[in-house]
Amino acid sequence: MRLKVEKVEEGLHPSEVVATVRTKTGSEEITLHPRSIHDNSIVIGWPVGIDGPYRLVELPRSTSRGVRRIWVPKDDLVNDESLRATA
Amino acid sequence: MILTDREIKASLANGLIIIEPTPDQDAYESTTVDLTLDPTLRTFRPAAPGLSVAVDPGQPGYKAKDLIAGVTEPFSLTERGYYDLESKKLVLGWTRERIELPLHGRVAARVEGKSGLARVGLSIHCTAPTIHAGFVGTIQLEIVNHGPMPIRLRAGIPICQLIFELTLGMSDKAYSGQFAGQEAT
Repeated sequence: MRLKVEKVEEGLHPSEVVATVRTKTGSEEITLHPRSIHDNSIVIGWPVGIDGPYRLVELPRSTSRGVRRIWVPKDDLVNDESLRATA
Repeated sequence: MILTDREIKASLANGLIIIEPTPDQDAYESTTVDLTLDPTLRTFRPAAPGLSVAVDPGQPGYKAKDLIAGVTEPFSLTERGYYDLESKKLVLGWTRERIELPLHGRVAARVEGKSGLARVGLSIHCTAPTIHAGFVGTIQLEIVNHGPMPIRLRAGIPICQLIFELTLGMSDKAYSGQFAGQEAT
Protein backbone atom coordinates (compact mmCIF):
# COMPACT_ATOMS: atom_id res chain seq x y z
CA MET A 1 0.00 0.00 0.00
CA ARG A 2 1.11 3.55 -0.68
CA LEU A 3 0.46 6.85 1.09
CA LYS A 4 -0.02 10.12 -0.75
CA VAL A 5 2.47 12.85 0.08
CA GLU A 6 2.50 16.52 -0.82
CA LYS A 7 4.66 19.64 -0.64
CA VAL A 8 7.93 17.93 -1.41
CA GLU A 9 10.78 20.30 -0.57
CA GLU A 10 14.54 20.17 -0.55
CA GLY A 11 16.04 18.47 2.49
CA LEU A 12 19.16 19.13 4.51
CA HIS A 13 21.23 16.90 2.24
CA PRO A 14 21.20 16.13 -1.49
CA SER A 15 20.00 12.61 -0.68
CA GLU A 16 16.94 13.89 1.17
CA VAL A 17 13.65 15.63 0.47
CA VAL A 18 10.99 16.63 2.99
CA ALA A 19 7.39 15.72 2.27
CA THR A 20 4.17 16.46 4.08
CA VAL A 21 1.54 13.83 4.84
CA ARG A 22 -2.00 14.61 5.95
CA THR A 23 -3.02 13.24 9.32
CA LYS A 24 -6.07 13.08 11.54
CA THR A 25 -4.81 16.12 13.46
CA GLY A 26 -3.31 18.14 10.64
CA SER A 27 -0.08 17.15 8.95
CA GLU A 28 3.35 15.72 9.59
CA GLU A 29 6.69 16.26 7.88
CA ILE A 30 8.86 13.33 6.94
CA THR A 31 12.35 13.20 5.46
CA LEU A 32 12.64 10.79 2.56
CA HIS A 33 15.03 9.67 -0.12
CA PRO A 34 13.84 11.10 -3.46
CA ARG A 35 13.79 7.64 -5.01
CA SER A 36 11.21 6.46 -2.52
CA ILE A 37 8.60 8.86 -3.93
CA HIS A 38 6.62 7.70 -6.98
CA ASP A 39 3.48 9.38 -8.30
CA ASN A 40 3.47 11.59 -5.19
CA SER A 41 3.21 8.58 -2.91
CA ILE A 42 5.43 6.38 -0.76
CA VAL A 43 5.36 2.72 0.19
CA ILE A 44 4.12 2.26 3.72
CA GLY A 45 2.91 -1.31 4.00
CA TRP A 46 -0.52 -2.17 5.24
CA PRO A 47 -2.45 -0.22 7.89
CA VAL A 48 -2.15 -1.52 11.43
CA GLY A 49 -5.19 0.18 12.94
CA ILE A 50 -8.62 1.59 12.08
CA ASP A 51 -10.60 4.52 13.50
CA GLY A 52 -13.57 5.52 11.38
CA PRO A 53 -12.28 7.14 8.19
CA TYR A 54 -8.68 7.00 9.42
CA ARG A 55 -6.05 4.29 9.25
CA LEU A 56 -3.02 3.86 11.49
CA VAL A 57 0.06 3.42 9.32
CA GLU A 58 3.77 3.09 9.96
CA LEU A 59 6.00 5.42 8.00
CA PRO A 60 9.35 4.29 6.61
CA ARG A 61 11.03 6.91 8.80
CA SER A 62 10.15 9.04 11.79
CA THR A 63 8.44 12.35 11.24
CA SER A 64 10.02 15.63 12.32
CA ARG A 65 8.10 15.19 15.55
CA GLY A 66 9.74 11.78 16.09
CA VAL A 67 6.80 9.47 15.51
CA ARG A 68 6.63 6.55 13.09
CA ARG A 69 2.93 5.59 13.31
CA ILE A 70 0.30 8.14 12.40
CA TRP A 71 -3.44 8.25 11.67
CA VAL A 72 -4.06 9.20 8.05
CA PRO A 73 -7.27 9.62 5.99
CA LYS A 74 -8.05 6.33 4.31
CA ASP A 75 -8.58 8.26 1.07
CA ASP A 76 -4.88 9.08 1.08
CA LEU A 77 -4.03 5.40 0.83
CA VAL A 78 -3.44 3.80 -2.55
CA ASN A 79 -3.67 0.07 -2.93
CA ASP A 80 -0.68 -1.36 -4.76
CA GLU A 81 -0.98 -5.07 -5.40
CA SER A 82 2.62 -5.26 -6.58
CA LEU A 83 3.65 -4.78 -2.96
CA ARG A 84 1.74 -7.80 -1.68
CA ALA A 85 4.08 -10.48 -0.33
CA THR A 86 4.12 -13.79 -2.11
CA ALA A 87 4.69 -17.17 -0.50
CA MET B 1 20.39 -13.85 14.69
CA ILE B 2 23.11 -11.65 13.28
CA LEU B 3 24.02 -12.08 9.62
CA THR B 4 27.60 -13.04 8.84
CA ASP B 5 29.55 -11.44 6.02
CA ARG B 6 28.65 -14.36 3.74
CA GLU B 7 24.96 -13.92 4.52
CA ILE B 8 25.13 -10.16 4.04
CA LYS B 9 26.69 -10.67 0.62
CA ALA B 10 24.12 -13.32 -0.28
CA SER B 11 21.32 -11.00 0.82
CA LEU B 12 22.76 -8.22 -1.30
CA ALA B 13 22.92 -10.56 -4.28
CA ASN B 14 19.31 -11.61 -3.75
CA GLY B 15 17.91 -8.15 -3.16
CA LEU B 16 16.98 -8.83 0.46
CA ILE B 17 19.27 -5.98 1.40
CA ILE B 18 20.21 -3.13 -0.91
CA ILE B 19 23.33 -1.02 -0.45
CA GLU B 20 24.30 1.37 -3.25
CA PRO B 21 27.07 1.76 -4.14
CA THR B 22 28.03 -1.81 -3.35
CA PRO B 23 30.56 -1.97 -0.50
CA ASP B 24 34.12 -2.86 -1.35
CA GLN B 25 35.40 -6.27 -0.32
CA ASP B 26 37.46 -4.75 2.48
CA ALA B 27 34.40 -3.06 3.97
CA TYR B 28 33.29 -6.33 5.56
CA GLU B 29 34.10 -7.87 8.89
CA SER B 30 32.73 -11.18 10.13
CA THR B 31 29.34 -9.77 11.04
CA THR B 32 29.34 -6.17 9.85
CA VAL B 33 29.77 -3.98 6.81
CA ASP B 34 31.28 -0.51 6.89
CA LEU B 35 29.65 2.55 5.40
CA THR B 36 31.56 5.65 4.42
CA LEU B 37 31.17 9.37 5.05
CA ASP B 38 29.40 11.43 2.39
CA PRO B 39 31.16 14.66 1.36
CA THR B 40 28.32 16.88 2.58
CA LEU B 41 28.19 17.81 6.26
CA ARG B 42 26.01 20.35 8.04
CA THR B 43 27.88 22.41 10.61
CA PHE B 44 26.27 24.46 13.33
CA ARG B 45 26.70 28.21 13.13
CA PRO B 46 28.14 29.75 16.31
CA ALA B 47 25.56 31.62 18.35
CA ALA B 48 25.98 35.37 18.56
CA PRO B 49 27.35 36.54 21.91
CA GLY B 50 24.54 37.26 24.33
CA LEU B 51 22.01 35.18 22.42
CA SER B 52 20.26 32.65 24.62
CA VAL B 53 17.79 30.34 22.91
CA ALA B 54 16.52 26.82 23.45
CA VAL B 55 15.27 24.21 21.05
CA ASP B 56 11.65 23.46 21.99
CA PRO B 57 10.53 20.24 20.24
CA GLY B 58 7.26 20.28 22.16
CA GLN B 59 6.13 23.59 20.76
CA PRO B 60 3.20 23.31 18.30
CA GLY B 61 4.44 23.73 14.77
CA TYR B 62 7.95 22.56 15.58
CA LYS B 63 9.67 21.48 12.38
CA ALA B 64 13.04 19.91 12.90
CA LYS B 65 14.17 20.35 9.32
CA ASP B 66 13.44 24.08 9.29
CA LEU B 67 15.11 24.59 12.64
CA ILE B 68 18.22 22.64 11.69
CA ALA B 69 18.40 24.41 8.31
CA GLY B 70 18.26 27.71 10.17
CA VAL B 71 21.11 26.98 12.56
CA THR B 72 23.43 24.99 10.28
CA GLU B 73 25.11 25.46 6.95
CA PRO B 74 26.36 22.94 4.40
CA PHE B 75 30.06 22.11 4.36
CA SER B 76 31.62 20.29 1.43
CA LEU B 77 34.46 17.92 2.23
CA THR B 78 35.08 17.66 -1.51
CA GLU B 79 35.74 21.37 -1.86
CA ARG B 80 37.48 21.96 1.46
CA GLY B 81 39.32 18.62 1.76
CA TYR B 82 38.55 17.96 5.40
CA TYR B 83 36.68 19.25 8.43
CA ASP B 84 38.24 19.44 11.90
CA LEU B 85 35.53 18.60 14.41
CA GLU B 86 36.43 20.42 17.58
CA SER B 87 36.23 18.84 21.01
CA LYS B 88 32.69 18.56 22.41
CA LYS B 89 31.07 19.66 19.15
CA LEU B 90 28.34 18.12 17.00
CA VAL B 91 28.17 18.01 13.23
CA LEU B 92 25.53 16.35 11.04
CA GLY B 93 26.75 13.88 8.46
CA TRP B 94 25.35 11.28 6.10
CA THR B 95 26.50 7.97 4.72
CA ARG B 96 27.55 7.93 1.10
CA GLU B 97 25.69 4.66 0.66
CA ARG B 98 21.95 4.38 0.20
CA ILE B 99 20.33 1.56 2.17
CA GLU B 100 17.07 -0.19 1.42
CA LEU B 101 15.44 -2.91 3.51
CA PRO B 102 12.43 -4.31 1.61
CA LEU B 103 9.10 -4.10 3.37
CA HIS B 104 8.49 -7.82 3.30
CA GLY B 105 11.98 -8.75 4.32
CA ARG B 106 12.80 -10.27 7.65
CA VAL B 107 15.88 -8.18 8.20
CA ALA B 108 16.48 -5.16 10.39
CA ALA B 109 19.76 -3.32 10.84
CA ARG B 110 21.61 -1.43 13.51
CA VAL B 111 24.01 1.43 12.94
CA GLU B 112 27.04 1.40 15.16
CA GLY B 113 30.20 3.43 15.34
CA LYS B 114 33.72 2.29 14.57
CA SER B 115 35.76 1.34 17.62
CA GLY B 116 38.95 2.89 16.26
CA LEU B 117 37.20 6.23 15.96
CA ALA B 118 35.44 5.80 19.30
CA ARG B 119 38.80 5.49 21.03
CA VAL B 120 39.70 9.02 20.01
CA GLY B 121 36.26 10.22 21.07
CA LEU B 122 34.10 10.04 17.95
CA SER B 123 30.51 8.82 18.13
CA ILE B 124 28.17 8.78 15.16
CA HIS B 125 24.69 8.57 16.58
CA CYS B 126 22.99 9.90 19.66
CA THR B 127 20.10 7.47 19.67
CA ALA B 128 17.77 5.33 17.55
CA PRO B 129 20.29 3.14 15.72
CA THR B 130 17.72 0.70 14.34
CA ILE B 131 16.77 0.60 10.67
CA HIS B 132 13.43 -1.10 10.10
CA ALA B 133 12.04 -2.97 7.10
CA GLY B 134 10.79 -0.44 4.57
CA PHE B 135 13.62 2.04 5.09
CA VAL B 136 14.98 3.69 1.97
CA GLY B 137 17.75 6.25 1.99
CA THR B 138 21.09 7.34 3.31
CA ILE B 139 21.70 7.26 7.04
CA GLN B 140 21.91 10.58 8.82
CA LEU B 141 24.62 10.68 11.47
CA GLU B 142 24.94 12.82 14.58
CA ILE B 143 28.72 12.99 14.77
CA VAL B 144 30.07 14.14 18.13
CA ASN B 145 33.64 14.55 19.29
CA HIS B 146 33.78 13.55 22.95
CA GLY B 147 37.56 13.60 23.01
CA PRO B 148 40.02 16.32 23.97
CA MET B 149 41.47 16.93 20.50
CA PRO B 150 39.93 17.95 17.18
CA ILE B 151 39.16 15.01 14.89
CA ARG B 152 39.67 15.45 11.15
CA LEU B 153 36.80 14.19 9.00
CA ARG B 154 37.40 13.38 5.32
CA ALA B 155 34.98 12.20 2.66
CA GLY B 156 34.99 8.46 2.15
CA ILE B 157 36.40 7.41 5.52
CA PRO B 158 34.67 4.37 7.06
CA ILE B 159 32.44 6.18 9.50
CA CYS B 160 30.00 3.57 10.79
CA GLN B 161 29.07 -0.06 10.44
CA LEU B 162 25.83 -1.91 9.89
CA ILE B 163 24.82 -5.04 11.76
CA PHE B 164 21.97 -6.96 10.16
CA GLU B 165 19.65 -9.14 12.18
CA LEU B 166 16.90 -11.52 11.25
CA THR B 167 13.55 -10.55 12.67
CA LEU B 168 11.06 -13.05 14.04
CA GLY B 169 8.43 -12.74 11.32
CA MET B 170 7.40 -9.60 9.49
CA SER B 171 5.92 -6.53 11.12
CA ASP B 172 2.20 -5.76 11.16
CA LYS B 173 2.53 -3.39 8.22
CA ALA B 174 3.65 -6.23 5.97
CA TYR B 175 0.35 -8.09 6.41
CA SER B 176 -2.89 -7.10 4.72
CA GLY B 177 -5.78 -8.01 6.93
CA GLN B 178 -8.82 -6.66 8.65
CA PHE B 179 -7.56 -3.09 8.60
CA ALA B 180 -6.79 -2.95 4.89
CA GLY B 181 -9.97 -1.19 3.87
CA GLN B 182 -12.92 -2.40 5.88
CA GLU B 183 -15.09 -0.17 7.98
CA ALA B 184 -15.53 -0.61 11.70
CA THR B 185 -18.88 -2.16 12.68
